[in-house]
Amino acid sequence: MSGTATRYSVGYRIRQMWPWLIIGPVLAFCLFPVYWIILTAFRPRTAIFQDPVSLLPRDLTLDNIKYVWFGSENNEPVTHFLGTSLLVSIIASIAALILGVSCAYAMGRFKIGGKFLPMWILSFRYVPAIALIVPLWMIGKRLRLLDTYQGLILIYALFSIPLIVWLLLGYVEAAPKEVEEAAYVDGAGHWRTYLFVALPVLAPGIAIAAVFTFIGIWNEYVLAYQLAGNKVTTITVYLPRLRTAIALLFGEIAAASLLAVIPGIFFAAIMQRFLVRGLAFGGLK
Amino acid sequence: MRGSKRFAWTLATPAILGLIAVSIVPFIWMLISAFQKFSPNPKIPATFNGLDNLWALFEDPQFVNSIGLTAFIGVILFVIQLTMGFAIAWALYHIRRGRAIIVSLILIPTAIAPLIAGLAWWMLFSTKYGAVNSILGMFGIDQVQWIVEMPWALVAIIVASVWHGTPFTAIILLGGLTTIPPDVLDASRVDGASARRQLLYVVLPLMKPFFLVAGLFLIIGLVGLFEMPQAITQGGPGNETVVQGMYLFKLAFNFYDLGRSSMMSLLLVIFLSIVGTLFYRLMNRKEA
Amino acid sequence: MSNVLLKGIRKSFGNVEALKGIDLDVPDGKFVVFVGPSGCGKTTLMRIVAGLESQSAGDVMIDGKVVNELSPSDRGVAMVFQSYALYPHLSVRQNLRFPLRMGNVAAAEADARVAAVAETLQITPLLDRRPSQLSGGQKQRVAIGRTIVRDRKLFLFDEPLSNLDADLRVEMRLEIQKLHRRLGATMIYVTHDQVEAMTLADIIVIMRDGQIEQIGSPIDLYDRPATKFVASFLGSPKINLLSAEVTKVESAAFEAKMASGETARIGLPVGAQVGATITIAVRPEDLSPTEGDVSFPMTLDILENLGSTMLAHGTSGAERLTMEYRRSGGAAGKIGSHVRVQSGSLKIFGPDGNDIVTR
Repeated sequence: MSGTATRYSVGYRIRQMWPWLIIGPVLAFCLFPVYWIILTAFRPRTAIFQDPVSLLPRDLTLDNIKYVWFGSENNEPVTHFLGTSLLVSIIASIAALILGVSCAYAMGRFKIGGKFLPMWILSFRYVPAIALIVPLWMIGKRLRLLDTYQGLILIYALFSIPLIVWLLLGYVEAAPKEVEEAAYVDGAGHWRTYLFVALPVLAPGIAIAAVFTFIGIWNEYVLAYQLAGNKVTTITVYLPRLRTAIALLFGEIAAASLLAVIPGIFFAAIMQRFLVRGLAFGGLK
Repeated sequence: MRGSKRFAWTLATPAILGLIAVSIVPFIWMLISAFQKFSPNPKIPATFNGLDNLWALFEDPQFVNSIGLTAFIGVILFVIQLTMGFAIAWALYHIRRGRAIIVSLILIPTAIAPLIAGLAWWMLFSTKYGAVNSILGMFGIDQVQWIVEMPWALVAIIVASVWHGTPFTAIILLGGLTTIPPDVLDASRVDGASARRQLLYVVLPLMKPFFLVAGLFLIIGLVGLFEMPQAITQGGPGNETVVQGMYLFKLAFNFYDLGRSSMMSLLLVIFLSIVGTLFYRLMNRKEA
Repeated sequence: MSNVLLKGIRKSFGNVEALKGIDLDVPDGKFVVFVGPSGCGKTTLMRIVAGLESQSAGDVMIDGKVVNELSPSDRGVAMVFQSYALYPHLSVRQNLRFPLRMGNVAAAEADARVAAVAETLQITPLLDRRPSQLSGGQKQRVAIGRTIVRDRKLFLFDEPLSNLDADLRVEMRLEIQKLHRRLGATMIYVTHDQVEAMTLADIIVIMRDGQIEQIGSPIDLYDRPATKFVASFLGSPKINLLSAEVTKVESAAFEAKMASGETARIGLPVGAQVGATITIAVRPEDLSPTEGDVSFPMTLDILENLGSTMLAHGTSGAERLTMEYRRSGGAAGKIGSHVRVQSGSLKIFGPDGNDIVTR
């Protein structure tokens, strides 16, 4: 369709573009470090240690990835630590989901514990792990749980419950009660109603909670560093050790970092739609 | 439904017991340890020493410095992250096409583990081989001794923290903006409000609760601030960038002063409860 | 004094073209209603006039001045929104004062004006409440109050009554009419409700698929719809549409074979060829059991008693036919196999839906 396009002045057009004048630089700031990590991960040593260093991708190589994956004279294979992270994250997430989903359902549907119980559980969000690390370490030592898989998994599973409850409580309250009541009237009983009627309805919310829990554990450092770290070493604890080697291992650190951030970035991309509303409303509760 | 309450408690009890195990139990442990003197020799039992740990902390210049430094970083992060976060949210709000993809991209820093983010910035700020000096060099600026010199080490930590935290703030605020009915914003424009006055008189007042949420998360993040300075400066140069979280670690696990570090943890928990209570008060206030 | 001139307005959202070239002159002081089915572009057009949306092509002129680049705050318009759009964080008083504050009106004068407007709209007791404490009708009054508190020359209403229940709607409709008479300002009003359009408008602009279908006074459009779309959009109960094939054309009359199989002779000159498929449109109230020079067969299905009038629903051939007639006429008993109508009250549309009567 033709027609006389409205003749807007240059000034007006620029004023209409103002959001991009903010978003453009912000995007550059947000993404440049990511670009740098990727670039460094695929660069040969000679390109990384140039002074001044070049910003453009040239002479790319898979060497660093190979070194960290299979190990080299400078470092152990990263697969071992990725494996530990994966194992701990998955088992702890599953355990946390079993406990957290049940708790959220019980609170959201049957209103147990009045106002106090949800308040108490949600108040955990105000306490970062670091505030409790000293007594946790002392207790862990007493119980001989330090530097064990079961100890780390246990602490992660329990620390993840509040997040799951926080994410799911709204879902439970919004889910139609009538479906469950119908199942109950049909003679399903509490357990079967919960397992076969309520849980499928909550599945989307549970999926979101599962992703957040997994990423939270995968990315965690403080607990993994202090409550484990020798026999049980996750990827985040291993990474800074690469720095203390005799040589500067920028390429190896970048390559290992890249492998370690893939799950987080992947899930962030999927969850984008949910995040905007979820974070804002979750915070209001 | 009959027996509902009993069933509900059966479901919730394991989680509640677990949470007690990682909250009330450590809290009581901490409460006791905070008033005890621990010997470096684990064979010798701890002894009650009253408020000595508290007084010792107040007289400890490193403790006072770490708190001061964290508060200083906090003020700067508050100003930068809330203004930048809101600017990003407000800009994103006005972008219709491509918003979803931009949000995904902007969120990438937040999805990266803080420790890895710190390591990335450690490399970026490397004096000889870092991209930051390389870019500055293009503008004819001499190499800056990031990480090794003050105040640059602190600047590096703040830049990295802003990079990691601002997207999160922006997304909370964007979520808040989407709760304002678009008609209300249109109405204010038609009613004669310029863009600036619309922000001042309509948008910002309606965003108050969301700024509170964002501020709360900032404070919690500040108390938990550890990975970023650990990865970038390890507290250096000297002890110049030892934030409160790092000092707690040092106290407990380098100096093995479990009494004093427990007291410090106790102070943190008290501080957080005050902040939390204040937050609830402000949120639930009916007017404003 | 305020007239609005739209020249070749187009608007695209991505690949969707919402407005396909609108030319319109809204004369000073008139009440103009944009009406059409949802998605026809009427709200978009109003938002372009307000400056809330920028057009892709064409010019918007207010009082002879091109305002394409003026922000809404500089166009000197007032607008009532479908959702009322009251400021939730401000009291009713502060809501009413808001436009004055933005216009830098002195506090004392602002107080006086707010009081006067509140008095006119009978919302004085509500002044210290919050919008969340008001009913729908009260919100609507505040929203209107907010637009009239400043001396604006151009008022825009975006479906302002659609969230109200039926009684309130009638009441507010009258209020808006009074308002127009009192202020004498130019008003543009968007609605999908043809009753609102008929009762309020000096000029109705009927829109369809991003284009103007017809412009005219309510009576013009009702009596002389230019297209089949306009004919069927206005009027309740809906106009009857009967398809037919032209069999004979004379200078002042034509004959057509109806879908029912019968041939009708209609005393109107038409511009059509023999064999053309046409639509004969007849308003239910123009049909009569007994009077008229044209007759259509009708099989009666059901009689509805509306009190003063009766509605007879039936079929003619396979097509639905509704007749509205006065009960007091005693005609109920006389409905036979045919209903009648005067040729002059029929509307004839060609295959493309346009009026083909050559008057």
